[in-house]
Amino acid sequence: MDIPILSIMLFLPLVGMILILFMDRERDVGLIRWTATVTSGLTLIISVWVIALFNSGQPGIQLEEKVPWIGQLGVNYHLGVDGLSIPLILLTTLLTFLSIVYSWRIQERVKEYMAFFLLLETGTLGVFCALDFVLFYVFWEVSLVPMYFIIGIWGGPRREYAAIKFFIYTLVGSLAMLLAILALYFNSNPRTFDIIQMAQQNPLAQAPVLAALVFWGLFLGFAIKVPLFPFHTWLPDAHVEAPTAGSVILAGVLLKMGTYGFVRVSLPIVPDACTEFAGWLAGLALISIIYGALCAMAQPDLKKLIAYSSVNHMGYVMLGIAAACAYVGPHAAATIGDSKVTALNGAVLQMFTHGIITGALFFLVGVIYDRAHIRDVNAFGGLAKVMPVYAGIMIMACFASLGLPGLAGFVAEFLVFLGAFGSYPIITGAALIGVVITAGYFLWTIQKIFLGPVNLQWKALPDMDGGEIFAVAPLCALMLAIGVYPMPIIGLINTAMRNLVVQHGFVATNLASVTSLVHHILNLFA
Amino acid sequence: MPIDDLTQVSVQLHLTVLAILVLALDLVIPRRGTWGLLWNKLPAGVATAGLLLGLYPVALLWGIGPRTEFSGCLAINNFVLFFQGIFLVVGALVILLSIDFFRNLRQGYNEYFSLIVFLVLGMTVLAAANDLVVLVVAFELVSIPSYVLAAYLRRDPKSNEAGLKYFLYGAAASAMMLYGLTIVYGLGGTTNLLALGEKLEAHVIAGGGLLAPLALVLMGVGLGYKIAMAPFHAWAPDVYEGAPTPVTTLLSVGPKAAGFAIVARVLWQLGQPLLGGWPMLVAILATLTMFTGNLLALRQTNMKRMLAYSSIAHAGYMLIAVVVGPNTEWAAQSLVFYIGAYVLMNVGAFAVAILVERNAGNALIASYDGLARSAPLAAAAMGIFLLSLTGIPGTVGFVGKFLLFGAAINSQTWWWLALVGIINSVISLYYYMNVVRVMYFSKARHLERIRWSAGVAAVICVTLAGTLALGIAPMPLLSITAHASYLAAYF
Repeated sequence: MDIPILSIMLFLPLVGMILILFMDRERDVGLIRWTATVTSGLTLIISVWVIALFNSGQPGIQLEEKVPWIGQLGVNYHLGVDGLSIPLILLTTLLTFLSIVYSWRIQERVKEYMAFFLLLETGTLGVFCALDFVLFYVFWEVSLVPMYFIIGIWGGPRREYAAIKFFIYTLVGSLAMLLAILALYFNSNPRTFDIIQMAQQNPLAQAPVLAALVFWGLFLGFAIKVPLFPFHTWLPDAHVEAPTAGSVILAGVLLKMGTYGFVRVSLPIVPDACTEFAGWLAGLALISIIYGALCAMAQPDLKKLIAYSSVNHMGYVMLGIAAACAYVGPHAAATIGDSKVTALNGAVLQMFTHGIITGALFFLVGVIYDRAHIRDVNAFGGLAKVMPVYAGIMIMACFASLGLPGLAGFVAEFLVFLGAFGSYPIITGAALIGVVITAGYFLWTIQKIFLGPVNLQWKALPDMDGGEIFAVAPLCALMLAIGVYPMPIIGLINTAMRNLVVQHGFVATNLASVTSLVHHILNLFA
Repeated sequence: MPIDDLTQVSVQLHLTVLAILVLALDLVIPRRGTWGLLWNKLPAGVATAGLLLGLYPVALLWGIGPRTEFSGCLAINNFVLFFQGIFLVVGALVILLSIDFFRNLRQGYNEYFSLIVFLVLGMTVLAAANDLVVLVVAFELVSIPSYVLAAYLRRDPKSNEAGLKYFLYGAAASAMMLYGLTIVYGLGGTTNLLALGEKLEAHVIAGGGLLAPLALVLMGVGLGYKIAMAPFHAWAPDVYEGAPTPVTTLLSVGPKAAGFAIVARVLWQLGQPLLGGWPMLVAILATLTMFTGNLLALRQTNMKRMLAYSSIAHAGYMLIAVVVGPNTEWAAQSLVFYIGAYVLMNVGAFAVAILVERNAGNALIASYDGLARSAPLAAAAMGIFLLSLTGIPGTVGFVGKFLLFGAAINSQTWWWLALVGIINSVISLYYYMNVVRVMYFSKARHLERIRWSAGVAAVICVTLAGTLALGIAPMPLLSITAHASYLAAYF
């Protein structure tokens, strides 16, 4: 690799942040906004370029960069992407850019706001690019700090409580993860912090007890981030109090770090423990799905409703991951390998689609909150007449979220269910209840806000302005595009997921070829 | 005595001459006339430059190999030299913090700097002590200037209280330690630490008795007091709060680091023969120290008290490395590295505290209200120091904790100390971030603007640069600490 393109993408936002730090916070507000917008826009362009350079047919890590960093400890600066990280990188750069565009309306402490957002972008991109545990951990934590400030400074009335709760919860998880990383390091031979090498070594294959401890250490780190029931309680607080763009990044990107961790770290490095405890993962995923949906249905606050719907939707991701590493016994169907790949494909796609759908939904909640200064679902009515554009976009996003065929959410959830059924038929069947409840509360919400007689109190609300439409339009376009023709993005993901399932012994049987799998999926949509 | 030996104590000789020179300068500098004010700064300047110059002899002695000099009274090895270097830097930083702080002092302005140099001298001897008698003398040479310095603001009742409390606690602790050392001497028949190891071994083989464990416990009281280990930590919050803040800075890093140097060397050498189960005892005390410091820090409203409890907690973290012992990879290095990291971040945090205290007139955390608006640079620096104390990556504090917990995991036996450590890190996050909350999240502002002083600004710059640079690229400090801990024997 001649140009270190991943590094350029990764540190461009940091450069932007440093530039902003040198600007005057009162005189240069316009310049600060432009710097942030241009930097994040360039980062988005570079990430698209990264996808263009990425060869989706080739398994393994691409665009690799590896130089020694802390030589004494064997820590390398090791970056690389595969089909798992590519969609999440695009998600991060896209949502960050749109968040910054949307945040032009922020008037208070613009300099710090933009600086923190750019730092956040470097942190989250770093998590998805890093292939060395120490580097991974550093970026993991670096993404934590700016979000703490974003919630704490620009958040709602209970922002201080929400900010520290978010920070403490995630720090508990990440420190547990740190211990697991150290345990892995001291048991690897030769000692390494490299995630890829560690996956090849499978250092704890002969030490099931330690492997179990490491699995649960990693689990705590990732599950809190996802968040999986019962570690989800920070999420409603953080989401409700965070400013709009903060919620977008939190739901759209930060939650994905948890599920990404499961697929990138837990599955390949402690595969046996994953198989052993897959039932637990599936069970917790099921509880998250049902419980999250039920909680969402009970919320009068629109933002909280979407926050709980995230618990529900991330449950599907976890169900797909659990299904992929489940123990299926020697008598499983011959296609179980395909099912597992399908489940993982669905899980990764769901990470992406949930990011764009929920990102859009949080922007849209911000739109109505900026105008009405309340978010109570019951306080509106007939808004479809007052704000037709807003109503159209919002209804589309809700439909995408509840899994209407033709929109992105359906494809991902369908793949998860399709794949998970092979491993966990009963749990998967029960999880479908979650879909029904989700449909229920979203339809109900649409009805309460947009239909019925116009609430006269809101009859003068202006419709969405250009900036707001600009922030949401690309997300809506993606929802539709993936919903109608998901093959390009599934093609990106599929090779890496197949590789994972085959290499780490989650199936005994041979897998069908890629092309037959693609045909299999295409036939389903035909 | 061959003259050659003197080069081996060139650090101590240098400091002795420097201390006397600073004291003498005060007598001869003119105080009146146009240049009077400038002349008055001369002793402080000479002391700072002299302390930093002391790094040169340290560097000369570095890497020659472990040895003892002066009939085995002093140990000279990289481990000891690393600590001596730390003390010199700490002394220089504290003087820079003090120049403006004591500006209005009516008398004794320049004696103050001489006392700091004497204290640094005491610490360099204490870290190197290889003989019980030298250990006692060095212990007192550290303690006595500390008592005086803690009470340096004579008109401030709190400062007087601090000095007196420190003295009374210190006297009792010294007496206990001395008693313990007497027993050790009685058992071993020699005052040389190196020889004692073997002699005590023979005593244990011969049947031993309760005297040996008793001696260890009594020594532990004295040394535990110095590093503020629970349950001998009670003096710290009152003394830290009452003492002039630059002195608090010094006490929180200097004698603590010196204490750790000698605690590690004594326990690693004499622990086994005196009490076979010492690691478990110290592990329990480390746990107690971490929880005591962190839990009591949660409710503090005074910055100095909060940092006092935090420094107790950090002593607990460092004790993990002492427990794990020098035979486990990473352990000795993590102790040395953590000391270096702790000096950077803690002195930095105190430097900002001094800045705010000088402007607000008190050390209450409430005075930090809205600091991010009135002094964005100071607030950002404080935020980074606090994140480093918590152990967030990107700062040197993370690398320190990474090594410490890694050592504990690597030892296998003591993995649970790493668990205790992370639980405590989470607790500490709450009170460190409470300060960040006050600085950043508040809409009000307590101070309109901040008046900086050159010395404080310099210290903040140096420590901030160190905290961040060594957090991102810890390689230089790792190399040095690897050399400082790469020794079969610490004597």
